[in-house]
Amino acid sequence: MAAPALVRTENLNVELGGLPILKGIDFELRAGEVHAITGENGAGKSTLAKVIAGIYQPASGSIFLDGAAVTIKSPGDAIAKGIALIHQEPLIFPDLDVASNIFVGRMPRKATMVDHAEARRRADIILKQLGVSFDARSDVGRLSIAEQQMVELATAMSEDAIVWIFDETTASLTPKEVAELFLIIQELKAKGCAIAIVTHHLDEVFEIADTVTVLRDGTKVAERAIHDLTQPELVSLMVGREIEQQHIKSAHASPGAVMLSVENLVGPGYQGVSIEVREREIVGLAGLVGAGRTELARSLFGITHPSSGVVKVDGNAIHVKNPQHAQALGFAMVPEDRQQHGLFPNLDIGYNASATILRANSTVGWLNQGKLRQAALSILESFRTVYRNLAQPVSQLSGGNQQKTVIGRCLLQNPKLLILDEPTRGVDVGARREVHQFLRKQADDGKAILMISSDLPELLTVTDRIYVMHQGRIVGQMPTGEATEEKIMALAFGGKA
Amino acid sequence: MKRPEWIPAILSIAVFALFWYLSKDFRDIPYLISNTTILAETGLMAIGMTLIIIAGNIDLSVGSILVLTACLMPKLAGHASAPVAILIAVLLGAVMGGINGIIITKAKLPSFLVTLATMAIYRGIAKAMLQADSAEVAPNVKGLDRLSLLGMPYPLVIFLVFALVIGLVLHRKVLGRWLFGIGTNSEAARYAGFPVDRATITAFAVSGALIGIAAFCMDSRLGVARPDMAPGIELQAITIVVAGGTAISGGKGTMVGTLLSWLLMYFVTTGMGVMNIKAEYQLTIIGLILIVSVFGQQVATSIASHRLPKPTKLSTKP
Amino acid sequence: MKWRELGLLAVVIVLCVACTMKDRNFIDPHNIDSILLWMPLLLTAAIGQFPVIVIRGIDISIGSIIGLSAIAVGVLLKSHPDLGVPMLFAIGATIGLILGILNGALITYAKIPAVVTTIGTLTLFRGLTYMVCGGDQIDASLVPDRLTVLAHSGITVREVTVSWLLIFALLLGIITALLARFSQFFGNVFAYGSNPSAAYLRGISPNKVQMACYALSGLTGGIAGVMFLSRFGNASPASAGSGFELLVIASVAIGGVKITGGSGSTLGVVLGCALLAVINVALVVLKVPADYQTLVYGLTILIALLIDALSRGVKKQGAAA
Repeated sequence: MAAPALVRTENLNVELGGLPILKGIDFELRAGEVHAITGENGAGKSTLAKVIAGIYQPASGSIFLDGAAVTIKSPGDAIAKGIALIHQEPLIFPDLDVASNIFVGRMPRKATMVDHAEARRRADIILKQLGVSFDARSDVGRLSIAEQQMVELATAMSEDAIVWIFDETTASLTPKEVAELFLIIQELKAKGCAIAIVTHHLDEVFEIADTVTVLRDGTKVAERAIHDLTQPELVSLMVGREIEQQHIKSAHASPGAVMLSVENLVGPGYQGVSIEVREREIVGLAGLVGAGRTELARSLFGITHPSSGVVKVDGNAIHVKNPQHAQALGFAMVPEDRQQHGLFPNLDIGYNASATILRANSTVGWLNQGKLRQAALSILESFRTVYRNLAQPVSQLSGGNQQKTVIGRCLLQNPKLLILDEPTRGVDVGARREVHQFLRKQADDGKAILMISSDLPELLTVTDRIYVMHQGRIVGQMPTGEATEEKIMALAFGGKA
Repeated sequence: MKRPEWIPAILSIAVFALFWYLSKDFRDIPYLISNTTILAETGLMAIGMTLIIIAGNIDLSVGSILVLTACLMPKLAGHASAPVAILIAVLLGAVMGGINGIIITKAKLPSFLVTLATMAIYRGIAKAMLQADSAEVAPNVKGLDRLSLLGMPYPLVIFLVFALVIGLVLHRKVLGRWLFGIGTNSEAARYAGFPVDRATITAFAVSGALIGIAAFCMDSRLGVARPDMAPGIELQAITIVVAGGTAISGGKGTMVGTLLSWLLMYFVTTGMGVMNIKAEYQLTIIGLILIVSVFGQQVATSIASHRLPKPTKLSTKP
Repeated sequence: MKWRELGLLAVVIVLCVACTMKDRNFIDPHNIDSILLWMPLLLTAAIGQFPVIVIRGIDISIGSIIGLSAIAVGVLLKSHPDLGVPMLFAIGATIGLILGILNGALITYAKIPAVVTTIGTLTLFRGLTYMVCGGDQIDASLVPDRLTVLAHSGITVREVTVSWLLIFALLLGIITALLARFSQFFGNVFAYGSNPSAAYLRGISPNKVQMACYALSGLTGGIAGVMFLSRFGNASPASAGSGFELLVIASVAIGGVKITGGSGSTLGVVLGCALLAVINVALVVLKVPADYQTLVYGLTILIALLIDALSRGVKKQGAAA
């Protein structure tokens, strides 16, 4: 570890939307090193990556490249300085071919004219090194996510990047694809590149990294060599204390009648799915990103439509036409992507908290504003949401409080079935516990809850029963009492329990 | 910028004072009141446009809906009574607006392109139908602009009543709430169970119905309808809405803002009229007001959020 | 050639055949002449609109740019009747370029949406047109023969004349096609249109791309303005180029430039213009009154949009399967 730092940050502070995200970060990335940046959701991992890649500008502090202080003005500037950021979702141009994607903005030229033949030749050389099955002429819009990820790697290789930052790159890859990616990372390391991996997958940290930096709430809490560290130690560094894994028990001896039953459902992204959710029961849906869980939830809520199979509510077969219909059936849904699908960012908190109960609180279409206000206040209160006043734009709240607003809005509907997709993503530990206890109370009051989560401790803490999905199918089911993280992960990766 | 309405309010007073000082003809209050009949028609269009822009869309075809309705109404109504004629005009307008909304929502096409096409289509139908002719309005529906109620000409009363009614719909009814949500984040609106398509189509249809009333007022005022009437009126309607503080990106705006902005536009156009500024320059000045007011909003927003870094969205989906 | 271009070509041919069946005289040199006369202006302006639509923008002010360029050059001819033809085109192009840069600056730096900006400058430029000429027409006496002759003479093959203007416009088309394939700039335009945020993260400056596209649209509009003088021999501040934006946008949309951005071909744009020109002449030959023109242009745009939406739907289904 005596190699000099290729990238160094000193007392780096970053603010987003007026909130401090990174506080006084000193970070060093050395040549020939794989450095994991890890921490809980919202700890500031990705932000650190994006500052180094020129996407965000620091509020104060300095960045040194090869020992010299630099300002990384823009993503283009970062590329010019040899810094490559590989994004979680591949950055591609679906209308262009692979060669044009790789050399976008800097196509090889011959006498000022773009030389397509040369671009394809060079692209094919790089693609061959990566060992992929498509060539430079392929249409990028038709490639799989993993293949598109490879196009991004090829782009960085063509830029002769010396600093590589992988931002949750493995999130949408299969285990085999992850293994291939790690081989490439080893090669880069051997060539003397400096590599940072932003991840919250601990197995990955121990598999590939030499050094790990742990962030918590925007500050750096530790930097350790990986061989000095055990997994439980790393976890406690991330959370700051031992995770409380006490199962939150149901107040009832057994769940009630079957509220939702799905039989052999086939639709976009999932096949042959059969599940049941009972009243007074919290059912977990585990699996990797891309296993079809979100797709299933979207179909249940009427956003997409299954092509075959049966959905029964209280024993009656129904076809959910659209979200309004789903709501009329007593469904409520907390979507996975809060920013894209959950929030009305510029509108006030009162609006956001009461958006789903407008019709219920109106007379021939005229809003009962007093009642709406009361409802919003009471649900925000019962969730202990922190805010100034109802007229404040919801975008000013922290992630956790935004999520409480969205969950609260769904509960105000008084649903029979609550579908939650990653309900505590980006929510801090304390708030998470509150959300969990609140959900259990809702279940005890008779609601049926279906909860998608990639956070296994969360599933083990809150649910009564867990289904596991893999590549669009349900591959296993178990009572939470019999479940362990290992069992679930083995199923999620396509193995046997 | 919590209340952007004060800008048109202050500007109205300033423009009023300016022309009061500049022109003797402007210092005639009865004239000022009676002259509102023409811009009241544009005002009716601006009311509907407020709904459409708040819901994150735009309708460039409003002028063409006005003209086609104005040309069709006399043909269809013949010598029927005024209420029948009004009903026909309202239905025609609502259908045309509704068609815009249906194409935009069902084919998932940008509203500015769809309504650019229907702008040509609706006016094209009027031209093809009448060619060099004009449509004669039945005598019994003529002269609405010369009747008055409480000292105000009827078209002004109609405009104010609808501004109040639609303003209440926008700010006090479920539909209005939906439109704000749809204009802010249409995907979140879908997940929240808003009937996004239906609400959007309704906004377009309501706007069309109001244009129908405007068309009736215009027919009644002019006595004849020609396919080349009201050039550039869509620009005027959009300008009124945007200068009233409604964000062109959707999700933000008030009916009070539109009303105050209408007053500003009224003083500006009347002032230009009494100062004998040519029609072609009047339109130019309106175009300038449009650009300046959107620019002003952008500046105000960027000042308000001046310390925030640019939110760079990382989406691979175009 | 892709399916879209082949399809367009087929429609053009079918339309010609249908018109000939209706009226034997459709394919006579005179009609072909008038089809060809029709194209240069449209094609020139459409070439500029093409990259604008690729980056998901729009330039509605194009008709007013054409008008202002035509009138300004006409006014200049009043005081300098001896200006050479290349000089006239250079002046027109410069005027257009300046107007285009103004559009670009408002859209890029003032961040005003393109629709709002260009609908505003549509009236602004029209107002400027009146100011430049004081409301007077540019009479035929002011427009020199050396300019008008370009529209009416050229290379004649068997009574059909391909005018110098058309040759010039086609030349511009060929240059654009070459640039679209071989210039870094157009590469950036397509990348930006395909995925704007990814383009930014790959170091392409969104400001430069947008500025350049609107400037280019203005530039070609300015050239088309001089062509207007050449083609019609006179110009009035009220009508010169007025409503032309519809034709230009229609021809680009029908030419298969994807309205959701990122793709399109110059050949498609040329064929789109040809289709509109044929339709226009067909209307005359079939004795459809001129009053139907606006309707036809509007329907053309709408049909192009619906084809776009339909093909998107088909693609989505294909991807899901």
